[in-house]
Amino acid sequence: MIDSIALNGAAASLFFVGLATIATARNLVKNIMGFQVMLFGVNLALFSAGLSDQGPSDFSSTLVVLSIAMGASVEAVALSLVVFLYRHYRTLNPWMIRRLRH
Amino acid sequence: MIPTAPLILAFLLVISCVAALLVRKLLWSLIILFYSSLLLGAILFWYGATYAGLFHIITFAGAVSVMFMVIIMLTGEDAPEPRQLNRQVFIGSVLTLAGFIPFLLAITQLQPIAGRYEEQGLLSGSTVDELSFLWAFRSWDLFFVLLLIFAAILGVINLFSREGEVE
Repeated sequence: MIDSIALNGAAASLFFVGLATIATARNLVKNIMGFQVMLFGVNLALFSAGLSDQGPSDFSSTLVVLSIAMGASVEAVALSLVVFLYRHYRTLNPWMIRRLRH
Repeated sequence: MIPTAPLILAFLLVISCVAALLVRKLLWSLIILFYSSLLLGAILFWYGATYAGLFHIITFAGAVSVMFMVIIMLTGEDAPEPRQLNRQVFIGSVLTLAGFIPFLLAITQLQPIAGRYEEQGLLSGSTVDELSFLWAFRSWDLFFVLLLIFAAILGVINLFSREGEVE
Protein backbone atom coordinates (compact mmCIF):
# COMPACT_ATOMS: atom_id res chain seq x y z
CA MET A 1 0.00 0.00 0.00
CA ILE A 2 2.83 2.37 0.91
CA ASP A 3 4.56 1.37 -2.32
CA SER A 4 1.49 2.23 -4.32
CA ILE A 5 1.08 5.63 -2.67
CA ALA A 6 4.76 6.47 -3.19
CA LEU A 7 4.63 5.42 -6.84
CA ASN A 8 1.43 7.40 -7.36
CA GLY A 9 3.07 10.45 -5.82
CA ALA A 10 6.08 10.04 -8.07
CA ALA A 11 3.79 9.62 -11.07
CA ALA A 12 1.85 12.78 -10.24
CA SER A 13 5.08 14.71 -9.76
CA LEU A 14 6.42 13.55 -13.11
CA PHE A 15 3.17 14.36 -14.89
CA PHE A 16 2.97 17.93 -13.61
CA VAL A 17 6.69 18.61 -14.02
CA GLY A 18 6.33 17.58 -17.67
CA LEU A 19 3.19 19.67 -18.07
CA ALA A 20 4.90 22.74 -16.60
CA THR A 21 7.83 22.22 -18.96
CA ILE A 22 5.55 22.01 -21.98
CA ALA A 23 3.83 25.20 -20.88
CA THR A 24 6.96 27.23 -20.27
CA ALA A 25 9.86 25.84 -22.33
CA ARG A 26 11.26 27.98 -25.15
CA ASN A 27 12.65 25.10 -27.15
CA LEU A 28 10.59 22.55 -29.05
CA VAL A 29 13.01 19.70 -28.26
CA LYS A 30 12.66 20.53 -24.58
CA ASN A 31 8.88 20.51 -25.02
CA ILE A 32 9.05 16.96 -26.37
CA MET A 33 11.28 15.97 -23.46
CA GLY A 34 8.57 17.34 -21.18
CA PHE A 35 6.05 15.20 -23.02
CA GLN A 36 8.27 12.18 -22.44
CA VAL A 37 8.44 12.93 -18.71
CA MET A 38 4.64 13.20 -18.68
CA LEU A 39 4.54 9.82 -20.36
CA PHE A 40 6.80 8.38 -17.66
CA GLY A 41 4.31 9.60 -15.08
CA VAL A 42 1.38 8.06 -16.92
CA ASN A 43 3.19 4.74 -17.27
CA LEU A 44 4.10 4.72 -13.60
CA ALA A 45 0.51 5.53 -12.59
CA LEU A 46 -0.85 2.77 -14.82
CA PHE A 47 1.61 0.32 -13.38
CA SER A 48 1.07 1.25 -9.75
CA ALA A 49 -2.71 1.00 -10.22
CA GLY A 50 -2.26 -2.72 -10.84
CA LEU A 51 0.06 -3.43 -7.93
CA SER A 52 -1.24 -5.80 -5.30
CA ASP A 53 0.19 -8.28 -2.82
CA GLN A 54 0.48 -10.84 -5.62
CA GLY A 55 2.60 -8.48 -7.70
CA PRO A 56 1.74 -6.44 -10.78
CA SER A 57 -1.36 -7.36 -12.75
CA ASP A 58 -1.06 -8.51 -16.35
CA PHE A 59 -3.72 -6.05 -17.41
CA SER A 60 -1.83 -3.01 -16.14
CA SER A 61 1.42 -4.30 -17.67
CA THR A 62 -0.35 -4.59 -21.02
CA LEU A 63 -1.66 -1.05 -20.66
CA VAL A 64 1.87 0.16 -19.88
CA VAL A 65 3.23 -1.52 -23.02
CA LEU A 66 0.48 0.03 -25.14
CA SER A 67 1.15 3.44 -23.62
CA ILE A 68 4.88 3.10 -24.33
CA ALA A 69 4.20 2.23 -27.97
CA MET A 70 1.77 5.08 -28.50
CA GLY A 71 4.03 7.59 -26.77
CA ALA A 72 7.10 6.58 -28.74
CA SER A 73 5.20 6.91 -32.01
CA VAL A 74 3.88 10.35 -31.08
CA GLU A 75 7.39 11.44 -30.11
CA ALA A 76 8.79 10.21 -33.42
CA VAL A 77 6.25 12.24 -35.38
CA ALA A 78 6.79 15.29 -33.14
CA LEU A 79 10.57 15.14 -33.63
CA SER A 80 10.16 14.93 -37.39
CA LEU A 81 7.93 18.02 -37.23
CA VAL A 82 10.63 19.76 -35.19
CA VAL A 83 13.17 19.13 -37.96
CA PHE A 84 10.69 20.39 -40.51
CA LEU A 85 10.07 23.57 -38.52
CA TYR A 86 13.77 24.16 -37.98
CA ARG A 87 14.51 23.89 -41.69
CA HIS A 88 11.66 26.23 -42.48
CA TYR A 89 12.07 28.92 -39.78
CA ARG A 90 15.70 28.37 -38.60
CA THR A 91 14.67 28.47 -34.97
CA LEU A 92 13.20 26.14 -32.39
CA ASN A 93 11.66 28.83 -30.22
CA PRO A 94 7.86 28.49 -30.47
CA TRP A 95 7.37 32.17 -29.62
CA MET A 96 9.68 33.15 -32.45
CA ILE A 97 8.03 30.74 -34.86
CA ARG A 98 4.63 32.22 -34.07
CA ARG A 99 6.02 35.70 -34.71
CA LEU A 100 7.64 34.66 -37.99
CA ARG A 101 4.41 33.20 -39.30
CA HIS A 102 2.85 36.66 -39.55
CA MET B 1 8.79 -4.68 6.10
CA ILE B 2 8.70 -1.95 3.48
CA PRO B 3 10.93 -2.57 0.46
CA THR B 4 12.98 0.58 0.21
CA ALA B 5 14.66 -0.03 -3.16
CA PRO B 6 11.67 0.88 -5.39
CA LEU B 7 10.97 3.94 -3.27
CA ILE B 8 14.57 5.08 -3.69
CA LEU B 9 14.33 4.35 -7.40
CA ALA B 10 11.10 6.39 -7.65
CA PHE B 11 12.71 9.28 -5.78
CA LEU B 12 15.76 9.15 -8.06
CA LEU B 13 13.44 9.02 -11.07
CA VAL B 14 11.66 12.23 -10.06
CA ILE B 15 14.95 13.97 -9.26
CA SER B 16 16.55 12.92 -12.54
CA CYS B 17 13.54 13.97 -14.61
CA VAL B 18 13.43 17.39 -12.95
CA ALA B 19 17.17 17.75 -13.52
CA ALA B 20 16.81 16.73 -17.16
CA LEU B 21 14.21 19.41 -17.74
CA LEU B 22 16.11 22.13 -15.87
CA VAL B 23 19.53 21.59 -17.45
CA ARG B 24 20.20 24.18 -20.14
CA LYS B 25 22.32 22.06 -22.51
CA LEU B 26 20.14 19.75 -24.56
CA LEU B 27 22.79 17.04 -24.76
CA TRP B 28 23.13 16.84 -20.99
CA SER B 29 19.38 16.88 -20.73
CA LEU B 30 19.22 13.92 -23.10
CA ILE B 31 21.83 11.97 -21.12
CA ILE B 32 19.96 12.48 -17.84
CA LEU B 33 16.69 11.51 -19.54
CA PHE B 34 18.38 8.33 -20.73
CA TYR B 35 19.24 7.42 -17.14
CA SER B 36 15.73 8.22 -15.96
CA SER B 37 14.39 5.80 -18.60
CA LEU B 38 16.68 3.15 -17.15
CA LEU B 39 15.40 3.96 -13.65
CA LEU B 40 11.76 3.54 -14.64
CA GLY B 41 12.64 0.27 -16.36
CA ALA B 42 14.37 -0.83 -13.17
CA ILE B 43 11.23 -0.07 -11.15
CA LEU B 44 9.16 -2.21 -13.52
CA PHE B 45 11.77 -4.98 -13.29
CA TRP B 46 11.77 -4.81 -9.49
CA TYR B 47 8.06 -5.53 -9.28
CA GLY B 48 8.28 -8.43 -11.72
CA ALA B 49 6.91 -6.78 -14.88
CA THR B 50 9.82 -7.99 -16.98
CA TYR B 51 8.18 -7.61 -20.36
CA ALA B 52 7.02 -4.06 -19.70
CA GLY B 53 10.38 -3.06 -18.21
CA LEU B 54 12.33 -4.50 -21.08
CA PHE B 55 10.04 -2.88 -23.61
CA HIS B 56 10.35 0.44 -21.82
CA ILE B 57 14.15 0.33 -21.82
CA ILE B 58 14.34 -0.75 -25.46
CA THR B 59 11.93 1.95 -26.59
CA PHE B 60 12.90 4.97 -24.52
CA ALA B 61 16.53 4.36 -23.59
CA GLY B 62 17.21 2.94 -27.05
CA ALA B 63 15.10 4.19 -29.93
CA VAL B 64 13.80 7.49 -28.58
CA SER B 65 17.20 8.53 -27.20
CA VAL B 66 18.78 7.89 -30.59
CA MET B 67 16.04 9.94 -32.25
CA PHE B 68 16.66 12.81 -29.83
CA MET B 69 20.39 12.57 -30.49
CA VAL B 70 19.86 12.80 -34.25
CA ILE B 71 17.52 15.77 -33.87
CA ILE B 72 20.00 17.60 -31.63
CA MET B 73 22.76 16.91 -34.14
CA LEU B 74 20.60 18.19 -37.00
CA THR B 75 19.41 21.34 -35.29
CA GLY B 76 22.38 22.02 -33.03
CA GLU B 77 20.56 24.60 -31.00
CA ASP B 78 20.69 24.88 -27.24
CA ALA B 79 17.76 25.91 -25.15
CA PRO B 80 17.67 29.69 -24.86
CA GLU B 81 18.12 31.34 -21.52
CA PRO B 82 14.89 31.53 -19.56
CA ARG B 83 13.51 35.01 -19.38
CA GLN B 84 12.48 36.71 -16.21
CA LEU B 85 9.40 35.38 -14.46
CA ASN B 86 6.61 36.93 -16.44
CA ARG B 87 2.89 36.81 -15.80
CA GLN B 88 2.12 33.75 -17.94
CA VAL B 89 4.81 31.62 -16.31
CA PHE B 90 3.66 32.70 -12.86
CA ILE B 91 0.01 31.83 -13.58
CA GLY B 92 1.07 28.51 -15.12
CA SER B 93 3.15 27.60 -12.08
CA VAL B 94 0.31 28.46 -9.69
CA LEU B 95 -2.18 26.42 -11.74
CA THR B 96 0.26 23.50 -11.87
CA LEU B 97 0.72 23.50 -8.12
CA ALA B 98 -3.02 23.87 -7.59
CA GLY B 99 -3.72 20.92 -9.87
CA PHE B 100 -1.08 18.70 -8.32
CA ILE B 101 -2.63 18.28 -4.87
CA PRO B 102 -6.17 17.14 -5.88
CA PHE B 103 -4.69 14.91 -8.57
CA LEU B 104 -2.41 13.25 -6.01
CA LEU B 105 -5.31 12.81 -3.59
CA ALA B 106 -7.51 11.37 -6.35
CA ILE B 107 -5.08 8.80 -7.64
CA THR B 108 -4.17 7.55 -4.17
CA GLN B 109 -7.86 6.68 -3.63
CA LEU B 110 -8.09 4.47 -6.73
CA GLN B 111 -8.84 0.80 -6.30
CA PRO B 112 -6.04 -1.46 -7.52
CA ILE B 113 -6.56 -3.43 -10.70
CA ALA B 114 -6.99 -7.09 -9.90
CA GLY B 115 -4.26 -9.58 -10.65
CA ARG B 116 -5.99 -11.91 -13.09
CA TYR B 117 -8.74 -11.43 -15.59
CA GLU B 118 -11.16 -13.58 -13.57
CA GLU B 119 -10.82 -11.15 -10.67
CA GLN B 120 -11.09 -8.20 -13.03
CA GLY B 121 -14.31 -9.65 -14.35
CA LEU B 122 -15.65 -9.99 -10.84
CA LEU B 123 -14.70 -6.39 -10.07
CA SER B 124 -15.91 -4.76 -13.26
CA GLY B 125 -18.99 -6.90 -13.79
CA SER B 126 -17.82 -8.19 -17.18
CA THR B 127 -17.98 -11.84 -18.01
CA VAL B 128 -14.80 -13.85 -17.92
CA ASP B 129 -15.23 -14.89 -21.54
CA GLU B 130 -15.01 -11.32 -22.85
CA LEU B 131 -11.87 -10.61 -20.90
CA SER B 132 -10.21 -13.88 -21.80
CA PHE B 133 -10.95 -13.12 -25.45
CA LEU B 134 -9.16 -9.77 -25.10
CA TRP B 135 -6.36 -11.36 -23.11
CA ALA B 136 -5.80 -13.99 -25.80
CA PHE B 137 -5.07 -11.26 -28.34
CA ARG B 138 -2.49 -9.44 -26.23
CA SER B 139 0.34 -10.61 -28.49
CA TRP B 140 -1.17 -8.47 -31.25
CA ASP B 141 0.21 -5.50 -29.34
CA LEU B 142 3.59 -6.17 -30.90
CA PHE B 143 2.09 -6.16 -34.38
CA PHE B 144 0.37 -2.82 -33.79
CA VAL B 145 3.58 -1.41 -32.34
CA LEU B 146 5.42 -2.38 -35.52
CA LEU B 147 2.66 -0.78 -37.60
CA LEU B 148 2.89 2.44 -35.59
CA ILE B 149 6.67 2.62 -35.92
CA PHE B 150 6.38 1.97 -39.64
CA ALA B 151 3.80 4.76 -39.94
CA ALA B 152 6.12 7.12 -38.06
CA ILE B 153 9.02 6.26 -40.39
CA LEU B 154 6.80 6.86 -43.40
CA GLY B 155 5.80 10.23 -41.96
CA VAL B 156 9.43 11.24 -41.52
CA ILE B 157 10.31 10.18 -45.07
CA ASN B 158 7.29 12.06 -46.39
CA LEU B 159 8.30 15.23 -44.58
CA PHE B 160 11.84 15.11 -45.91
CA SER B 161 10.75 14.35 -49.45
CA ARG B 162 8.36 17.32 -49.55
CA GLU B 163 10.78 19.77 -48.06
CA GLY B 164 11.53 21.49 -51.39
CA GLU B 165 7.87 21.94 -52.25
CA VAL B 166 7.10 23.71 -48.97
CA GLU B 167 9.90 26.24 -49.36
